[in-house]
Amino acid sequence: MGDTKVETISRLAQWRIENFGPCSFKKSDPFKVGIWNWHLSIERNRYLSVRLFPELSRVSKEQPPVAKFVLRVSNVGPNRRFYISPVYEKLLRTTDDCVWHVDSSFHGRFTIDVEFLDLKICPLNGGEASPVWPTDSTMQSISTQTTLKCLSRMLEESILTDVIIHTADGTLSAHKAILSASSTVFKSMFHHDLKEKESSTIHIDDMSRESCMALLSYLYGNITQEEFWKHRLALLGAANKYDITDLKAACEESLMEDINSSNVLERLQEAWLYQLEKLKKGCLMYLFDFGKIYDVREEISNFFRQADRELMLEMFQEVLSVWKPV
Amino acid sequence: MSNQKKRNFQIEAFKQRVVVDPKYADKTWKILEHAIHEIYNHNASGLSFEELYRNAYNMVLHKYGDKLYNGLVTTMTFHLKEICKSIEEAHGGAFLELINRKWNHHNKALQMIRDIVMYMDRTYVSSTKKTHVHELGLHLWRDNVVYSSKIQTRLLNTLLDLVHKERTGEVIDRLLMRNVIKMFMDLGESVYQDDFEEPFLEASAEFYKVESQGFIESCDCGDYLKKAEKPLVEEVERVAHYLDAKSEAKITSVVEKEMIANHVQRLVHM
Repeated sequence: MGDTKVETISRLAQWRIENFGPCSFKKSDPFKVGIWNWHLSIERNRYLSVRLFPELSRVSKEQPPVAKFVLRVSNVGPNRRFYISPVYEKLLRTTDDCVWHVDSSFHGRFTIDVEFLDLKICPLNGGEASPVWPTDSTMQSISTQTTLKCLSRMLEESILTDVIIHTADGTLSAHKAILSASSTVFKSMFHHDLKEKESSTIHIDDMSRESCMALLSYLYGNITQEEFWKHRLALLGAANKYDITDLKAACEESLMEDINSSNVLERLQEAWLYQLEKLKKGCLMYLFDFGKIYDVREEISNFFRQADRELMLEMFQEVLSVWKPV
Repeated sequence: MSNQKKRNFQIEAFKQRVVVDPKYADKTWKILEHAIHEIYNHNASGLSFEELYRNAYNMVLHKYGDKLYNGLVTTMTFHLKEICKSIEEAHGGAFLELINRKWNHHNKALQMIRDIVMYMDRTYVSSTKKTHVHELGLHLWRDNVVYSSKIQTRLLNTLLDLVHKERTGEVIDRLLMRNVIKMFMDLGESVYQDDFEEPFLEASAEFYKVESQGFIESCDCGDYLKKAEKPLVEEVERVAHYLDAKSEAKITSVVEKEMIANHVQRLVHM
């Protein structure tokens, strides 16, 4: 026989049938388009019936295809005739999901083409079908990954850096454009005709080299969880100072996660300083609603000696709201 | 991990100590005050933005926003009064020229200062509902320079005089006119309308009243209408060159009233 094989190129599958003689049914070998193996079959009854269906497998069961496609039957030879199906767009699971009746009888050699216009995965529990071929969003994610790689190389290999940062204990180099795009403070710094614009150096005396590197890693998109964790207090300060709101929110979120009796007063102080309402509320709840204030009795007297009056007032109000004498 | 925590805590303690220094706020403010002087004295290129920003930031962070804001008002007012004096002393044509130059410089300085105290603008100013620094700078300029007793009338008269000169065929510096009138617009719609547009319309009405009287004595109806058309075209051009576009409808209605409407009876019976 040998004529059950289907050739594919790109999104087109072609089945050349050498001889469709007396037998009335023929099924192709599986062929792969998208993430599925497909079969074509032909059957002669009153018409010529052409079917397209996915091979029974785990993939086609769990991620059934929604296909948009056109079928074409054409004979080979001097008087070429062909029939083109309408454009189908349907969910294909079984052999009966797509049957196309061609009102003509083809004999001998002929060819069946399937051209897939689109292929999507039908979600089993409702929702939007997701395309298997690259679309705008997949293109975008490829582009994003490339950009991130470039950015981190720019920082790690100091590619064409144009500004030197002097921290409290060492220097780093970076790019004015990246800093300016991340923070209006840096943007203004390089905009005005002041020292930094002319000298292309910044003296950030209130950060260590390591913390400043963590800040740069964040801005260049390659900070690690460990680095973030280690420097989050310094990052919080920098995010507040340079108005990098996403980073500030991430730091607050992270500081919320591990409040304990040895750090709660320090956290409260930070929350007060940087106006972190959520963290402040969290610390006050920890101290008063959960009664942990009794665990920090010694530290609290020292804390009260230094704390801001307004903060004390808020703490006092929190005590009153929790303490409801009967 | 615990090492890191200790270290962070020490940094915190250190910060705390700086703030406890009773002279901290005064010292920091002195640095910023000096910088504002330098900016107004065209001597800013040696100043470090990061250092100034950090000082202003720390003042606000440690609740000295009031001191920073009030200091800013005082220092800027001081410089605007100096500017005002120098403008008052200017003679003749140099007057308008100097106002324009000082206004441009003030704007540049204001932008720089606003950016240096950006953190105050974002937090302290917003939460206390005070005037934002940029607007504050415009108000201070308006009150100390434009509304100064020795400048206000002279400035208006100079502008109206130049318009008059142009109407009677002299060539004036339109770019300078445009820049100074743009200043009125930048100071706010009400400043432009009350302190320039309204007197300008009054002076225009006066001018065309006299002009039309002269024409009507000396020509017939056809000639008169031809002559009345010319100022309309000229005034529309004037608006395009150096006034706010919204003034066009107002000035053309003044011209129509003075040149045509007031003389309809006479024109019909000519």
